Amino acid sequence: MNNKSSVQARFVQIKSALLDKIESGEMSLGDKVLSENQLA
Amino acid sequence: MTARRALTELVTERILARSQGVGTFVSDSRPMSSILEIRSIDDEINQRGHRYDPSRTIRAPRGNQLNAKSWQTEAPLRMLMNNLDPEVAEHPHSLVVYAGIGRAARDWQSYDKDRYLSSDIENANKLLVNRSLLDIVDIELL
Repeated sequence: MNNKSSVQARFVQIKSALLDKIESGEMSLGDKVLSENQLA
Repeated sequence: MTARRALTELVTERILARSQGVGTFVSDSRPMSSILEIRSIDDEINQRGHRYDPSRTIRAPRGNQLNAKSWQTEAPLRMLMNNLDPEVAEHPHSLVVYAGIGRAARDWQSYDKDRYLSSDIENANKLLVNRSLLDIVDIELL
């Protein structure tokens, strides 16, 4: 996997993980999301 | 950079909201739908708490018989009803006129109120003050 696609894969992973948490109810309306540094 | 892009996209999609100097927060606990899931617009509307009533079919009156108290109020009455004509509206049973979100009334109760006011009030100015039609159609009074 080249650098560009690995960066893209990481971005999709982070986005999916956040969406999963919201859809499962683990995170709900008003919950604070981890900072960019913590997510990276 | 990757985390920033993920957060930015979710903010753009209005699932998250950013507050300068405070942080990023969940702004919608019910995302519209996952990317690959195709759902019916009526289910989507129902899930958002809007009313779906397949039993109601609205057709605007036609011809020269008055249904309101004056021709001034007959016009907005027919416009309101015509918006929900199955030949005109996108999802008339959910009050959706166009684009999946443009509705003729907030809910069927509001529609009935608008419909009642249209047929009960004689003066068009008074009608517009009393109903939510101003939100729906832009009427230029003579």
